[in-house]
Amino acid sequence: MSLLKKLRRSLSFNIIAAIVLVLVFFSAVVTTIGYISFIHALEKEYNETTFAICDTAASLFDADKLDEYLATKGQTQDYKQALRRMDNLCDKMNVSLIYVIQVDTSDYNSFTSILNSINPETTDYIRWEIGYKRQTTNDEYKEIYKRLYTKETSQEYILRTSHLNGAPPHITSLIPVKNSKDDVVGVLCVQRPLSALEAGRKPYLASVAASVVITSVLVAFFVVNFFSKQFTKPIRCIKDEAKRFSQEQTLGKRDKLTRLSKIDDIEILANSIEKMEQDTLSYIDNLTAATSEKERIGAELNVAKNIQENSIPNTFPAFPDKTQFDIYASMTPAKEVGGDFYDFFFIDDHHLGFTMADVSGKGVPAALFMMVTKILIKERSTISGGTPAEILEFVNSRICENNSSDMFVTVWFGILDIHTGTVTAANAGHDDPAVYRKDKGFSFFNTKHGLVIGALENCKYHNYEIHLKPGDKIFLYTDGVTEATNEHDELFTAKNLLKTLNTVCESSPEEILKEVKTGIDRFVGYVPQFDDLTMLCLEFKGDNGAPQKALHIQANTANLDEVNSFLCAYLEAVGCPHRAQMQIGLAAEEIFTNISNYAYAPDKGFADIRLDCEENAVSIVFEDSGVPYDPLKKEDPDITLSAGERQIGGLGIYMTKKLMDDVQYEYKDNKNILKLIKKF
Amino acid sequence: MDITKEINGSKMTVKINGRLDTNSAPELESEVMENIEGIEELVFDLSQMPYTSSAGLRVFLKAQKQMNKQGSMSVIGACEDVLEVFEITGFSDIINIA
Repeated sequence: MSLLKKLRRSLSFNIIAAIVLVLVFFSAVVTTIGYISFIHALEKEYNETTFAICDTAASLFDADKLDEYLATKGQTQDYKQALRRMDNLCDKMNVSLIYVIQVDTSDYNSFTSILNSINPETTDYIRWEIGYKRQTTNDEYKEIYKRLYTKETSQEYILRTSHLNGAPPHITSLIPVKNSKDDVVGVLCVQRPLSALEAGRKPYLASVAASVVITSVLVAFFVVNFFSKQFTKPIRCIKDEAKRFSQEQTLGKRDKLTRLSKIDDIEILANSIEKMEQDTLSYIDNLTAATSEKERIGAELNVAKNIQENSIPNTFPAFPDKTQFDIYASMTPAKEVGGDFYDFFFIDDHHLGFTMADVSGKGVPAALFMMVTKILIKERSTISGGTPAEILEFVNSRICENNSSDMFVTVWFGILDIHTGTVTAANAGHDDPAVYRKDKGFSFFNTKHGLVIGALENCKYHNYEIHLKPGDKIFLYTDGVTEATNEHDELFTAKNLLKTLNTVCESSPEEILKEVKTGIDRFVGYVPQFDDLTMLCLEFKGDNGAPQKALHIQANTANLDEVNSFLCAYLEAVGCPHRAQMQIGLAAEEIFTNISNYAYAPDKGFADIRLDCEENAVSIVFEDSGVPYDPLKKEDPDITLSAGERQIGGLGIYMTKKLMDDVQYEYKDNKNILKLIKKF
Repeated sequence: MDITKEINGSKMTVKINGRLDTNSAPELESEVMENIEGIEELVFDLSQMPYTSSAGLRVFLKAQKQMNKQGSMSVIGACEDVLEVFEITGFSDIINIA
């Protein structure tokens, strides 16, 4: 940047330049006004004096004798005396010229000189002799003559304040010459040099200019000094401090900006800058603290997210050695951690517990609540067992004990018998699952819901059963799926879910979940989602290939053949000898017939038969949910009695006990469980 | 299960073809009890019956009780498995097994 450009951008230079410009302008105005006043005063003074001289000159001759003077060509004593007196006046009054003329009133273009006095000291004019005729000098004089003759005015003057055609400044005063009849007969003119003006103007101008310059310099000095001290320097100081602060971002020297100037605005600016520095620094400190706090929370949330993700089974296939079913689940929390969860776990070798739940609210509180619920369900199921309803009742009572936050959770919990395909489930206010039946597609399995968990102590839940055949599927979800929202605020809805499910119902659980997720993503577009998205799909495959190990069947003697073939197929497969097969078949018939006839009478119900084989022993377990009945408590019939004394009946249980190696009964989870063991 | 019955004067021979279980026993019961009047000798041919449950035993006991009043009853051709059932239940003591 050149020096000029730098100067033009400098505050002090600009201020000084502005002050100097203002002062110069001010001096010019003051000088001009002074000069005009000076000229005006002089002019007035000169005018009055000159007119006085005019009047004196007019009294030196007889106006009635002008024609006579002309006729005699000034040879009379009277004329000569008048001229001498006029010369005298001219000389004494230091006047350049006095003359009396007679103007040609026809056009005022010419005049005739009558009297003419010249002061040779002040002018180099040559005296006009009497009778000398000449053209009127110019139109200005012509108009003046006319006005005087017509008595329009009684005196006229022309002022020449500057040198004109070599003549120094002068004033020319003209008055009419009137005879005794008051007629205008001529014009008397006195020309007087403006010697006082000439003499006074230069010193006057010089003194005015000098005083203005001195005043300006003094004012400029004081103003510049004042500005520099109170304005420019503080501003520069503030500028430097602001520049330093923007680079270093530290507090400046203490009191550096205090008492900089006596001007309030500058003082306030300086104080504000100082306060702003402090505020900015404290703001930066706060922001740094807040940011690091945010980072810490972010890192903690990340850990929490990992803990939550790892707390639910997320490795698939989850049970590679179990061919009876295929399960797949996914959870997409809206925030780092979510309140939705799914879970599945083996309660024993034959039962898989699986659950889907949705905690009210989102984020960390929901995640904590979710963990508690999840752990309670799983631990209660695997440690103490029980039906889903009992488990949910237990979980509800535990959560209600200390639920100060008034949160709640909707839970669907089911237990799958992996051999029979029977799902026993209870629902605490959760969305009903969709169930896929081979050749029929998905449809919702609607049941009566219990109250959400955490709402009310001593809540009762009810079990219900879903019977899955090999190839059937069950799909569980949270409302994040059906309530996914698109840009028009429309919900995905259960109807759409069902439609999407049915387009891929033949696929594996993993593919079904992926397809539903894709469908939802396509539906919502770019709209961010505010609810967790959690889904689980389980496909029951049964013991296909391997001999069926379990049978869920209506307890009716009409189904005896089916029970028998189920038994035979398994026993044959495990290499059970024919004789033992027959004995097991016999015992099974007795037990199944008993269940059919008495367990649910007069209604009908189901029985579960589960087979297992270890080494050379087969176990056959019968389960029914009928009236509690322990057949082992029944007294054995007396087989020594004669035919006449023998009771008809009561032999079935007795034969079973005799034919089997062990028979155990227990009543558990509202079920009669009878276990037969036959060695071979 | 099939039932073939042969009535020769006061002797009735009932041949059971197949398993005698809860479902088939009522058929045997009605078949026997409807024709038992006037019969003095009742013979069950079990050579083609591989299996009986307590429901079958009920029928045999009921028939035995009736025959005790009007004649005699015997069982022939029972296989080993069936015999075992008779043994366990003490039926071998009250039924004449040939």
